[in-house]
Formats: sequence, C-alpha cells, structure tokens
Amino acid sequence: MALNLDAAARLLGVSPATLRRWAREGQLGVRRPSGDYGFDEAELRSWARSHGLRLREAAGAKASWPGTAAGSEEQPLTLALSRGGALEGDTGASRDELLERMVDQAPLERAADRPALLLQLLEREGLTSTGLGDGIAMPHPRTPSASFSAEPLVMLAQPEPALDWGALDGQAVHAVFLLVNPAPPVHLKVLSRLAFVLRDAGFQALLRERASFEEILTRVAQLEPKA
Amino acid sequence: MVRLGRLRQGSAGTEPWLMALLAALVGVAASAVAVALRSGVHVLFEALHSVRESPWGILLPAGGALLGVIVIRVIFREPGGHGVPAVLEAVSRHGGSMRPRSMVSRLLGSLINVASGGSAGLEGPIAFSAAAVGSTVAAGAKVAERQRILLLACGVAGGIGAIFNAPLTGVIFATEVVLAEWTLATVIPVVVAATVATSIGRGLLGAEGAFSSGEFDWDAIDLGLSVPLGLLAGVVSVGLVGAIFQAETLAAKLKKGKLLGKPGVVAAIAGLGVGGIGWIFPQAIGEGYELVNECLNDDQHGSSLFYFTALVLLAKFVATVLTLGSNAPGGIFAPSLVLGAALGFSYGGALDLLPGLEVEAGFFALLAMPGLVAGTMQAPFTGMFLALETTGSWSETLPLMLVAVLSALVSRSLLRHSFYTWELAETGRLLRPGTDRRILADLQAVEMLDLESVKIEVGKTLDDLAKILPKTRRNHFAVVDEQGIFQGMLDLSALRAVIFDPLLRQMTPVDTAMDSTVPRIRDTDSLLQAMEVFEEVGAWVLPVIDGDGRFLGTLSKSTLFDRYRRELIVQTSARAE
Repeated sequence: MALNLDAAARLLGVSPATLRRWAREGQLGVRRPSGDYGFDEAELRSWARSHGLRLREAAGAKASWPGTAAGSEEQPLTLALSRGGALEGDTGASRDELLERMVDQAPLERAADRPALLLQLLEREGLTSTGLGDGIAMPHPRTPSASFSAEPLVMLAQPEPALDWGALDGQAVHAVFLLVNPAPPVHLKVLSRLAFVLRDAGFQALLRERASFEEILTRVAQLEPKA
Repeated sequence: MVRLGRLRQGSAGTEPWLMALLAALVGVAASAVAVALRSGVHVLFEALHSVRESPWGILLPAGGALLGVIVIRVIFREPGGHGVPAVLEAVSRHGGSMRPRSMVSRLLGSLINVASGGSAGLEGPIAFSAAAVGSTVAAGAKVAERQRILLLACGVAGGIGAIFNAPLTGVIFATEVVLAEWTLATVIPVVVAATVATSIGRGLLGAEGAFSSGEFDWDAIDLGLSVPLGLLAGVVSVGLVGAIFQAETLAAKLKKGKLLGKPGVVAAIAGLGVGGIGWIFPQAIGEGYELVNECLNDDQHGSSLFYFTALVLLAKFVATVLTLGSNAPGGIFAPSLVLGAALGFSYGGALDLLPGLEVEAGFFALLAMPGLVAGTMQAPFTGMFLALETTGSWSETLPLMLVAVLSALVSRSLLRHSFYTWELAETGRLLRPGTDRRILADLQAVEMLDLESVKIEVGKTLDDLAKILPKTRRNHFAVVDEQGIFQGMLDLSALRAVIFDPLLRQMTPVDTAMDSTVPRIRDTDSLLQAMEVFEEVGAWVLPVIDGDGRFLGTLSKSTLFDRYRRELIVQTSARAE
C-alpha cells in the first residue's frame, strides 16, 4: 500500500518535516526523492524494523482502562443510573441488610462474585463512612474492578425508614447510591458528577420526598450536562 | 611567547605509554598461545599419521570433534561455538571481561578437532584464547573497562599476527572486526602488540608465510576477468554462511533429543560425514593448506587438476558446513582461504578451456582467497591483508583489492550480518561503541531516578494528598503499603474531577483512585528496556521498583532525555587516552 508523507510520518511517530529530512539525508535509502513523496508501506515497515523503530499503529499505543469509553460519554452518571436502576421491595432494617439486598439485585456481570462485592463494600464502610451528610450515602468497593461490572453502574435505594450510616453529621440516610465502576478514572468521574448533582436543592428535595426513580433519573439527566 | 605547557595541555600524558607497555606484555603472552596452538596442531597431526592411514582414519574427524567439544563443554564448562562471536560479546556486553581459563579451553578443543581433520581453521580459537590473555593481563593491571577492551583487542591482534606471521592482518582484524573503532588511541597499542607477538612468532615458528605463491604476470585482461570472480566469490561466501546457519539451526533442533543433547554427539555425527569426505578427498579436511599451495603453484594450463579442484571445492564446502554448523571448535579463516583457492583455481581453469584465452589458474586462486574471507566475514581489509601477508604477493595488491571489495559488496547486499556478528546482532547482543543501542543498554533505570518523588501510604485519602500538594511540584504520586511495597500510581490530572471537592476528597482513599495496572520498571532495567515500556503504554512518568517490589522513585520521560544526552556526550566525544 502506498502512503503519503503525512501518513508515513504518523506511522513512524515523527513529524512530516523529520521524515522529509530523513529522505533527503539518505536515511531511508540511497536515492534522493523528487517531487511527491510516496512511501511503500511494507518497505517502510521493514525499514523501521531493521532500525528497531517502534511503529505507531492507528489504534493508538495507550493502554485503555475498562469503561474508558463510558467515562468519555456526555452523561456517564445518567447512563450509569439508568443501567443500575432502583432497589425494589424491602429495603431491610440496617445498613448491612440494605447493602446485601442491593448487591443481590444489582445488574452485575454474569460471573460477578457477589459475596466478594458485599465484603468489599462493608470493608470500605469500616474504613470511613460513605455517608456524605444530609441523609445521602455513596457506598462503593475500595478497589474498582471490571470483574463486577464492565460498565459504570449506579443503583439507587431509598430506605424507609431512614437508616443509621455512621455519617459524619450523624443524620440517618434516606438515599443510597451504590457505585460499582470498572476502573478508577471512570469511578472518579461518576463520583464527581453525583456530588455535583447532589448540590442542587431541587434534587435534594426530590430525594427527601422519596420521589419515584423515573422522576429522579429525569432530574439527573437535566442537571448533569451543567457539570 | 608560545610555551611548551600550552602545547601539552589536553594531551594524554603518560597514559599512552602505560597502554603501550601493557600491549607489549599482551603481545608476548599472545605469541606464546599462538606458538603453542600452531605447534600443538603440527605435533598432533604428525602423531595421528598412522591412524589416518589405517582404515580407522575415516572415524578420526568424528573422534576429534567429539573430544574437542567435550574438552570445551565438559572439562572447561564453557559454551561451544567457534570463538569470535564470544569475543565480540565480551566486548559488547561484559566490558571486555573474559575468564582466565578461556586462554586454554578453546585452544585444546580446536587443536584436537583441527588436527584430527575437522574442516576449520585456527583464527577463531587463537582470537578467543589471545583475547582472554589480553583480558587477564588487563584484570591484573586493574585498568578500566575501555582499556580492558583495548588490551583484549591487542591479544587478538598479537595472536593472529603470530600464528599467521601476518602482523598487519592481526591489526586490521582486531580493529575492523573486534573493536569496530579506528582512533589513534586504539591503533597504537594494537600495533605494538601485533609487532611484538609476530616478532616472537617468527623467531619460534619460522619466518615463512603460510603459503608460497609463484610470480604472476597479469595484465588488464586478467584484471577485467577478476570482476566476475569477485562477484562469484561473494555468492559462494553468502552460500557458505547461509548453509552454516541452516546447519546450526538443524543441529540446535537435533540437540533437543536425549542422546543427541549430550555434548559433542551432534558434532561427532557431522564428523563422520567429514571423515567420509576425507576418505575420498583428503585435501578437503583439516586446515587444508596443502591444497592452497598446490593451486597457487600450478603452472600447467588447463590441467586435469582443474576438474579435480572443482570437486574438492564442493567437498570442502560440505565438510566446512558440517564442521562449523555442528559447532565443532574451529574458525572460518582457513576454510575460507582454501575454498577461495579452489574456487579461483576452478574459475581460472574453466577460463583456460575457452578457446583464445590463456590464463594462469593460480593467479585467480590467489585472488579468490581474500574474496571468500571478505565475503564471509564482511571484512574486506582483513581478507586482503591476510592474503597479501600469507602469500607475499604484494605485486597483486590491485586485483586482490578489487576481488575483496566486490565480494564484500555482494555479501553486504544479500546478508544482514557477517558470519561473526549474525547471532549476536539477531539477538540484540551486538553493541558497537558510540551507538544508540550501546548507550541505551549501558544506562540503568536506577541512574535516572527522580529521588524527590512523593509517595503516600495506602489508607490515606485524597484529602491527605491535597495537604501535601502545596509542598511539591510533582504531578505523579506513588501509593505504597506499610512495607514500602509499590501499589499503584496517582496522576494529579486524573484526580481533577474530585480533588477540589472536600467531601469527595475525604471519602476517597488513595488506593481507590490509583492506577494499579501501571507498568513497573526494575531498577536494573536498562534505558533501552525502560524506553520500550514508555513507548508501549504512552506514559510520561513510571514507577521504579527493586527486586522486592519496593518503590524507589519515579522515572520521567524528561529526565530520561536529559540523562541520555549527557551519556551521549561522554561516550561519543573525543577521549584523551
């Protein structure tokens, strides 16, 4: 396949000006090119190999985290929340019972180790409470892992009555957002979006009134683009 | 007023004298090795005379190859091979350091192999043994690595000079093949060693060259006719190197077997083939110098010797591939010279058969000798001077040069590496001085550490991190456990989403936000290995750990560039030695 100067330079990871100089100096071969630069891709590849030069393939060399694509979405939180949904049925009488139910119902990977996730959530709560204050908690495993969910996932539970969460301000918790993310970057992103949305007084009121999941999701979708 | 002090500023002072003195010492020792090897082969060859003449003679090369390999591999516990690549590796990777026992191991092994009829020469073993002599003298004199490499090359120059009575060849071989570097600082000691060693060698082994050639009367037509010969010599060289490597690959496969894996067994089986060839063509085995002399001194035109020589050429080719391909100890100088003589003689003989042409076959035999050496070793100077000094045919310098350079040209266009450098270059172990790979391989990760890098313990939160931020200019932080074992990396730019929110900061432990998949670099990794990791993951800063996984510091692309540049300046600028 024939490559033009720009494409060939991209493949070699140098600027077109560098490649032109190499051609002129004779690094690429004895003959001095005239006019349009055309490069035979196979020849260029074997030349690079013989010089131990690593090629920049089109896909990009950077290793990507799982869920990176989701993290670059316009509205990762809205997507994650709609994916996770709300806890249905009995919310349990304590923090631990609630978490157990959420882990049971969460739409995790088929092969996900649910008891392990629950253990990690409890361990995390043992470190410091994920109760942010104002009756909100954000439980999450200490180490994000794609083995639980390959896509970011946020699940809502609205315990009735409110539960003690050991929160900093001592308030009982009436809204719980379970965060299960595949990797640290997307976790931080979803976390920060959630914190942003929670600052909205109208949204806080919705949670306090225990509005329906649909109402809450709609509100999140409206607020998130402003983040 | 110009003062002498100004002139002497920046000159090397007494150091060159010290090096010349050590080089002379190496020359004396190298000549001893050369004399021992040359006389040893002679004595053993004579002693085996009755065996060779008996029906058992056919088994002699096999026995020699077996015993030769056993001496090297079992008794001296060294890797096999023909010697020169091992010298190049010592220069490339071990700062010219070789074991003292290497002075005798290859010497004994190849002595037995060659004297019993293995189709190989003595330059490989002499280069190896004499290099070890140089290295040992250097170790005794406690000189630095660069000087040790130089003394190793002095050993090679002395050994080759003494054994072939060819001082210039020794100098050229040591510089062209071993050092790959021509500066005044390197040339002086090498010449001293070659001069001293060859003087002693002449005294003890005699002043004659290895070959004697008649006078040739050549003209422009002969010169024109040597052009195709040069190209032909190149093709045969490429064929020889290619065939030897094919045979080595096959031998490596065979050695995976249980019985065949024992040292020397494959070489002995190949030796049976050599013995069979020797039964029909005794000229084709051993060093084979008689054949060279016959070719150089044949004054009959188009004689029956021509057909015979063409057959011997083939036989010698196969015998050499069997001997060197099976890793029996020995070098490629002698087989190249013999093959060259046979090739040139056949070429000349064939030309003489053409009506209207009258040529001396011996003339072309002489020309093709350096042709083959230049082609197999990709070292035209070594080939040329070897032929000139061993035959004394200085009036044929011009056609010799022509054939040598044409053969090297063909070889260079068809082969990536020479017979000597092939394996090393393919496995990335050939590092010539002053090259990029050399510098990249010399620098270790531990030399480029950013020691001011900031680490933070597992269990701390991003809030704790935010507290140390004002005190540092770093953007990357290592997360370690209580024992200092590296856990992951924090990149400030990735934390932007949460680091400004006090609540989120407090509720996010550093280990939740860290990248635990980041590739780690070992402290002992070379810059070359580190660069590859950087390229692969496209990172800017990577953690460096020790053997226990403890975090030592970070390595950043910008420091890398700076250190590389400094190393480049030191390693490539002119030195005062």
